[in-house]
Amino acid sequence: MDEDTGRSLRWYDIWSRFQPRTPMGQRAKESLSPFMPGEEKEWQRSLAEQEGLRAARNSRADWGRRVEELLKRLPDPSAVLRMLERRETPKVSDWFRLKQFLWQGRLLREWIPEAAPDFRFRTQEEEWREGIALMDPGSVPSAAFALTPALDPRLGPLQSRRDEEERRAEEARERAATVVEEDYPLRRNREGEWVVDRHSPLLKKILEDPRVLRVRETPFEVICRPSPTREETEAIRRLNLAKEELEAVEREILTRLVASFQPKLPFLAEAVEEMAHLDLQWARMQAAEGWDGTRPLPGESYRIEGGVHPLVAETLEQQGRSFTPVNVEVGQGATVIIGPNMGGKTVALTTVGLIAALGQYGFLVPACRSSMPLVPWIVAVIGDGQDSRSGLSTFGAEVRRIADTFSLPEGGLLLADEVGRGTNPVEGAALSAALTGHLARCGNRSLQVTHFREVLEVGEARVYRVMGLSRDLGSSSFPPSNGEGERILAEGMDYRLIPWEGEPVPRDALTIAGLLGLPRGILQDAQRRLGQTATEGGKATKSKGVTE
Amino acid sequence: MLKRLAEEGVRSLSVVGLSKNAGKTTVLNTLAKEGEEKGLLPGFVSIGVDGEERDVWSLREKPPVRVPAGGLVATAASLLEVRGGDWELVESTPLQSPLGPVILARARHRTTVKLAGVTRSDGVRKVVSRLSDLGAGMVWVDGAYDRKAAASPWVTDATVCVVGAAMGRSLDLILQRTEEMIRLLTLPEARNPLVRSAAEIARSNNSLVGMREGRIEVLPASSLLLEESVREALAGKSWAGLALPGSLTDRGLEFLMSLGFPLSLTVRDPTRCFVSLSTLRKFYRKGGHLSYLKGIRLAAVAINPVSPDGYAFDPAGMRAQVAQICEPVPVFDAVRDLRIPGS
Repeated sequence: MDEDTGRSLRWYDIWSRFQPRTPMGQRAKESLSPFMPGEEKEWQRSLAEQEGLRAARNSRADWGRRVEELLKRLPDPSAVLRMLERRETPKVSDWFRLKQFLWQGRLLREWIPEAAPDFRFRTQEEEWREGIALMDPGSVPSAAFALTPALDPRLGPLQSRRDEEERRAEEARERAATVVEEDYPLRRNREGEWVVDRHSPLLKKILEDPRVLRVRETPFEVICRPSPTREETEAIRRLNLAKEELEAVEREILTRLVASFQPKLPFLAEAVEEMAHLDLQWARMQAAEGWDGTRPLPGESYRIEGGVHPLVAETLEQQGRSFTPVNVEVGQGATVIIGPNMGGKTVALTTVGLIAALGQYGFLVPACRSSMPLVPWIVAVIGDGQDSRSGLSTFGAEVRRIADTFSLPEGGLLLADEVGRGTNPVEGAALSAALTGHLARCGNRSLQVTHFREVLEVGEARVYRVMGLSRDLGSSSFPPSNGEGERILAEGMDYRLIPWEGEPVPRDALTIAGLLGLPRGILQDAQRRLGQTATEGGKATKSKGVTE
Repeated sequence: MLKRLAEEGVRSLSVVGLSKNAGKTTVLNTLAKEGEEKGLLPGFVSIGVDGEERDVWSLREKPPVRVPAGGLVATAASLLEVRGGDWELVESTPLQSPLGPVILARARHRTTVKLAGVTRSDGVRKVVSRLSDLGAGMVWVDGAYDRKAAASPWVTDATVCVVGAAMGRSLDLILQRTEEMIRLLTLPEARNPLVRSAAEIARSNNSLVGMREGRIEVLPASSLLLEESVREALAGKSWAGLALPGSLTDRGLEFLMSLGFPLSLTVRDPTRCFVSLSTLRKFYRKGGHLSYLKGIRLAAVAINPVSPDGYAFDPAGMRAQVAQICEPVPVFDAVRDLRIPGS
């Protein structure tokens, strides 16, 4: 699917509703490919997984909330994995990230199959527990991470020694300060400092006392602290030694963890992929909930019942109107939609395109029932395709895009909106009919919308027509007041698609133009001209049954 | 003071500097130590982007906060790495600091750490609640420079303001600015149920809400800055009061006075009030009244008479004059007082 096709189908708006929660899921979304022909089994399995997740969530709301919460908090350990692969030593917070991933991933690994047994995991629960145990070998593991004696028995005694030396150093400092405070009216603040007023008569004596160390001064006061005693200095030396030994053991633990995780690297890589997959599936399921998605079955042609374009449906709903579901079959060859202007033909076209694209990207689709093939490409030539960059007009750009599909592998889906309308009607009609003839015979699937009656002469094409305007509207009084025309038109238009079996197709353009406010004189003139044209060319077309 | 606050249900306290380099961290450490001695295990979190590099008391590189064994912090992972072995990393959060994602950690041993600010107030509120859940008896919120947001009553239960010498070269100027700030912070909470309802509606609808004849009316304007809309909305009716969804500035207050209404104004909380004392006085003289939907509980004011720019004020003199302005709020000097008032 190229960019123009995406724009025509409003794919990017829909795509933005697909929101994986985890960084891994978001990355996977960026590189997500559609299922391709030959992957039908995987495609259906993926859809079945989403159905399973949805059923589980709908029947156990609390379970759904917990899964959602865990996914939101699941960290991305990819950077830590890369460090481990390079045998670099991750820092404490990196190990914490890995542990959080394993802890929360393990919960998901346990919870998902409980409620959605069809969801397939390749990793084993035991592998997750083993990973956690490497970082937390204690009897009661937790989601937190710390360098505890359970990781190395030397830690406990070393930590006690550090605490002991710290206590000794403090006691030594306290003794030194107390001695000074017995000799002078001084009290330390919470910083352990004496603040001595410059006007204090004792200042000189205090500053000359070797037990007192001046640390800084202000215009009003001098700030001092006890000079370190030999006892304190010795305690600090021992404390620093204990800290150094402790840090060395901590470094050793972290290095050892790198070695213990080496055999676990394939599992970790798989676990990251698995969580990204779960996140994608959860996000697909949630996005599809917005359009009440159903599972498309595999089939040779696109059979859509009750198809809806969710964005168009939302707009209509805001206007107090409802979307007329699309029922259509688009098989190999050419399928054509005919009908009046403003009859929803292009909406039907984009609905089919969007459903096809969503299905192919592994989503439950907005239709009551559907089956579809996996195709090698989907191209939509819809709307004003004028390409100012390459200097092509609407007609030129349209032809170029259609021509490009001929070099694509056979079996794709082409959606075309009124091919040939951008040039003179005689040539446009001939071109459109010829193209339909070609499409009817080639191995692609195509759906096109047209006003050219010549297209209907292509016998192999499957044709649908929009039911069209209610016949009562022809007698409406024209012109309606401002804005009324659109309302009358919307209410009087039957947007349903029905197979065309050769019956006359009503011409409603002038009625619609009238409803939209074109003056009566112009309409009458057009009607007169139409009568002349019909008389001149009526015989041939009447035999095809396409005039009223 | 802390024991009493804890008994009264205060579980979180912000320390806010009234200027850059006020000396917050020293005050924070002093208060947290005091709390710890009273059995209040501390939790620490910082709000906003803090630009202070050096401590104003010691002039040394800004000191880290001191965390006792079992104490909790919310900070960036990289700052915990400095003493990685001292911490039990408990929870990751979706919150960001300028130094990366914020992690909740528990000290396994008495240690120190620098705090990386959580950049959003609602994030700080969540962290405060989570730290309490994890066992913090008092959560200390270190408010970054010029971030009144830290004092928000929607974030913490009470606030300590720090008045530092760095506020100005003259003590008179410092006293004047302190008075202005303290007056605005301590204006009353609205008591009248109608006024409170109007303020709640203004907050939830993000609209101005008027009060007249005992009724509430949501007005088609969201800010006093939209002067024409406000003028039109108020015209022709006799209003008794107005509740604002956002900030109140001198310009907004002058504008309302120009309309001639003897209004009773209600603002969401003191962190949204940016009027000068002179304009406020004028407003009161015209019969106006200003109140908050939720006021700040100002627990104390700390002074620091030393500026990092190399000048200082007489500690006793500064303390006495600030105390006179702040009465009845207790004033203390975290460095020179051996005990916090009320402790």
